[in-house]
Amino acid sequence: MLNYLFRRFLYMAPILVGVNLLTFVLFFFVHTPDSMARSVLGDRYADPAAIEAWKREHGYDLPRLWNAQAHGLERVTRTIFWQKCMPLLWLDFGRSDFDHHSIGEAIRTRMGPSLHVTVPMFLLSFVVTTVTALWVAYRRGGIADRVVLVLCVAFMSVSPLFYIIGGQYLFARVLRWCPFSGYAPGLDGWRFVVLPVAIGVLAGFGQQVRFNRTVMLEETQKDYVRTARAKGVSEPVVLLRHILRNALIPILTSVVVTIPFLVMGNLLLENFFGIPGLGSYVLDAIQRQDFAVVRAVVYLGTLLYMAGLLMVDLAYTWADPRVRLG
Amino acid sequence: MRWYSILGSVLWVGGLALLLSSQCSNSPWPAGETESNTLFMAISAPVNKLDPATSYYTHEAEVVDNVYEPPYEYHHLLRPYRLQPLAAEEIAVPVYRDASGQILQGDPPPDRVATAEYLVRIRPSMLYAPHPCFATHADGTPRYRDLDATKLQGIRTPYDFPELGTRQVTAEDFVRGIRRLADPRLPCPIFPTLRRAILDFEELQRSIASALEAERARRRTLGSEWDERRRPIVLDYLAFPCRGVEVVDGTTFRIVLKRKYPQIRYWMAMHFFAPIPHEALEFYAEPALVERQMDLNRWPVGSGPFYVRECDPDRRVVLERNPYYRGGRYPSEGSEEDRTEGFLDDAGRPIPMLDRVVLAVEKETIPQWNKFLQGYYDLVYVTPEVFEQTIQFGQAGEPVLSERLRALGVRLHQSVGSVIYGVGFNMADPVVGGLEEPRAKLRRAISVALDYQEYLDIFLNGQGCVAQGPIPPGIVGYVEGPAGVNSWVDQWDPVQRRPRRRPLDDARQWMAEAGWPGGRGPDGRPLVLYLDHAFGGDPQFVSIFEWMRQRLRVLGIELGERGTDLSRYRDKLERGAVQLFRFGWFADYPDPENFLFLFYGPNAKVRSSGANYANYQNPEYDRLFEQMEGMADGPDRVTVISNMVEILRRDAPMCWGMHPVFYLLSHRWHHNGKPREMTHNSLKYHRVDVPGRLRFQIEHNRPVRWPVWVLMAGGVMFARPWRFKDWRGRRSNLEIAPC
Repeated sequence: MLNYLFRRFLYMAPILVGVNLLTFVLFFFVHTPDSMARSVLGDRYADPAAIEAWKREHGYDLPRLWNAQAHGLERVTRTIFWQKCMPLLWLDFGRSDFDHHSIGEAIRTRMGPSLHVTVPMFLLSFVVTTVTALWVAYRRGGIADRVVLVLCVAFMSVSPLFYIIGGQYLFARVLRWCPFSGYAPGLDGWRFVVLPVAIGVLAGFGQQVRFNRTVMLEETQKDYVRTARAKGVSEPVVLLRHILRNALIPILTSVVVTIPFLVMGNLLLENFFGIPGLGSYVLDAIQRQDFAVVRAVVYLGTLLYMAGLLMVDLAYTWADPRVRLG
Repeated sequence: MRWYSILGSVLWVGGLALLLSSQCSNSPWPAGETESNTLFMAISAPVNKLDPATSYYTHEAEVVDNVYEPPYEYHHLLRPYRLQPLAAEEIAVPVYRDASGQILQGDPPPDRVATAEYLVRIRPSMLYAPHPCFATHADGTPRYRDLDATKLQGIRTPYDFPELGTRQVTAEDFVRGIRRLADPRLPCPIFPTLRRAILDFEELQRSIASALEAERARRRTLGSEWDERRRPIVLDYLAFPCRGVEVVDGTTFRIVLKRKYPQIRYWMAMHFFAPIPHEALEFYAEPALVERQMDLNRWPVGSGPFYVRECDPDRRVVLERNPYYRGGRYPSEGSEEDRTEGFLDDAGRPIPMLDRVVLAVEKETIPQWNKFLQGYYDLVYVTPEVFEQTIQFGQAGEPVLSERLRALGVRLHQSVGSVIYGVGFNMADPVVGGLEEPRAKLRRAISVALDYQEYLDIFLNGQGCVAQGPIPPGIVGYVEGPAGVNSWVDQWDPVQRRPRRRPLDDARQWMAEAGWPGGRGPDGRPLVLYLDHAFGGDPQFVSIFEWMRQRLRVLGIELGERGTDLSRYRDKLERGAVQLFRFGWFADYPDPENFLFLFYGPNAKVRSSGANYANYQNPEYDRLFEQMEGMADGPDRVTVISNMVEILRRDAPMCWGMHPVFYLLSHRWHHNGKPREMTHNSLKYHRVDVPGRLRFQIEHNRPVRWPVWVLMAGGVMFARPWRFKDWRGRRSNLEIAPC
């Protein structure tokens, strides 16, 4: 296992450097430092001198990849790539181009509100969709199965925006049970997150139930299920101990990979419900052209994705005793 | 288990959850907050920059302008806007000198003026809001220096420090604040303008940059703990030589301009000219505070009527009344309309009238609007999304509130924005550019085809007025009625009592005279023009572009689009590689110069990277601009402005689009919220009737509980416990699955 983990970490290194290089090309060749300066200084009065001063002050006046004017190692290190992108490798996210605040600190601060919404949403969604899928698989072809099928298709056909606006209208305006939007840290925040969590679960319900149901039905046709039944094992035991456990393997693949992304929040929900999480942080950064933040978050996303894939592999060993990592 | 048993369980759980929900309220505010003398309003984006040197966005100005006090401000009620002293004792009268230092009397022509000197005397009674940076030991040394983690235990905001202090605002603080604008570390958006006006300001920036470099070089030898990111360099801005901004005595400072630039007085009404105490700069340079992100961008230190008591930049900012505020009175002067609207009811009352202001970040319109309807926001601007349920039109076409809002006691205030939107022509373009008459005819024909009244009707519910030139209403140089019509493109409609576009036949005639009869060139090919833009992701742009294309098609012109990302679009503007482009400009100050400089030749984008996006260069216009810029207000200046506007109308470097109207709604318990666009320091005038608000909130926000009981009853019906016995021994439908 340790050998496997070590190897996986080694594989990660070139991927991370590659992603870093790719984002660097995207951000510094397509979006020039001059344009960044204009975004920060404003288009109205910024002149070339002000732009040059800003670039000099923020280290964007250096050559991009190779500093021919420098000597020795500084030919590499006195470049925009080295100064702005390489620190990401050791998780130094740097500072926002816009307000000069620490990006790492902002990510740490905003993770809380994001997790406040995404963790209950994830857990609730997992339990609800798994139980529902198991139930409709159990009732395959019956009224319940058909009703859930229709509901799933309906849920999948409707835009998440509709759930958000409809949910806000119904629960905050008509029934007046919870606030339209807002956020409060700590325990008092539950009344702000209950609606986005419910909407998040509802929005993903259809797709996940359909997927889980298919997986479970596939398992029910396996030999070991027939054997279990032939041996007189009760239906709940067949369902919960045999089918569910084996069906979890593909379900875990689709679910566990998303766990690390919980910290990234949900862009749409956070924006509409005024939750100051990472999702809205990214959206704000894009809107104000703060590419230091966007770059950092892209890198963080890569890290989380790779962490997710690793977690999936580890989860396999737990769910399927046949799988051995080595 | 039967399906209805499970349904019953779901209903039980759901019912219980809903019961829990029904116990809470839909109030977004902490319990008891709405019972205090607090104003609640929304801001559209997170608050990132509260430093007066760098803050430039309107939503941030709602905070900064109420925390800091620059020398001047605008009268709360009078329109056109009128300057009045704020931190200053009076509006400074400039002293002009020629190259030999002799004082020039009266209003000398700009070319004779070598320097313009403004002596600003500030009020002696101003004190800073409470802040730990002013706390001192008995011997007068700062109380909070050399802070470390142990000393900062439990401290998250400046107001968690056990001791706070204050001190008198001095002229030195103003000079420090203004000189600080030249610090290259601060992206001050108006520095380029000030550099061209204030004596030695450019040299000051160079001196500061050199001092920074010297200090950085010194620090490089000291090790990583002297990293500037952890330990910012604090400079004594007063130590640098700069004749342009100097202290005269404790309550007087001098600003010296290197040319005649009367518009400086408007800049002096903006927060960029606010005082900065050295204690704040030193305090926020403490490494332990830097690590905790405590700085002027979040925790400003000002002498205004409010100070920032709570700053959660992405959620909300709370202002609290400055206990040391010198006070003031609500204005007694206003128009008859102001009296009718109740804006003079509080005349002479002491200000500020609020104890707190909550500015909540609300990015989406719909939650903001609904919270206003629920009484949780006291005022709100009407956005296009909610326009139809808000505004109706009276018999004379005047906007009135919808019946529903009138029943709620909501009041409507409106103002025409000091803004212009339109379509610019790149005057350097070989097809649409150039000052020759055929080219001007082509541009005028396009302007006629782009009927902005239709645009207003389609996209803005008719709210706005069609621009007749670069100057919007409320600014000197704007002429109302038939006399103000741009006769090159429009004509007066006596029935509608507003300008309307000239007949399309005129435009077709001009097209023919321009060499494009029926939109075809000499070779018979259609005229194809391109709109350059960076609105690729904007869904509304698709319909706006379609409208433009249809409008130009009536002249036989084919309009294409060249969309790029913002970075490339900027680059294209810089290189003059655009043809037609959408353009908008908000006034920074209520002077026509702020609009007319957009067409001043030396400001051309391709020439100097200035704000003349159309690259318009007309020597006659430039001469008049230079004359007008330095003139004192008066009839002579109005004549020059009028001539300049006429030149622009004739040359048509832009299709003058429209000036939008802004609508502000306020609840019946909220008073004195007259809309304004020039600076936002008016919170000190606002008043709320707290009991009235509470009554409304209670009356309109009672939770509806009956669905909970219905769900519970449903649960009882379906989920009787004995039904669960069905589970045992039941066979699943899975068994019928084929093997």
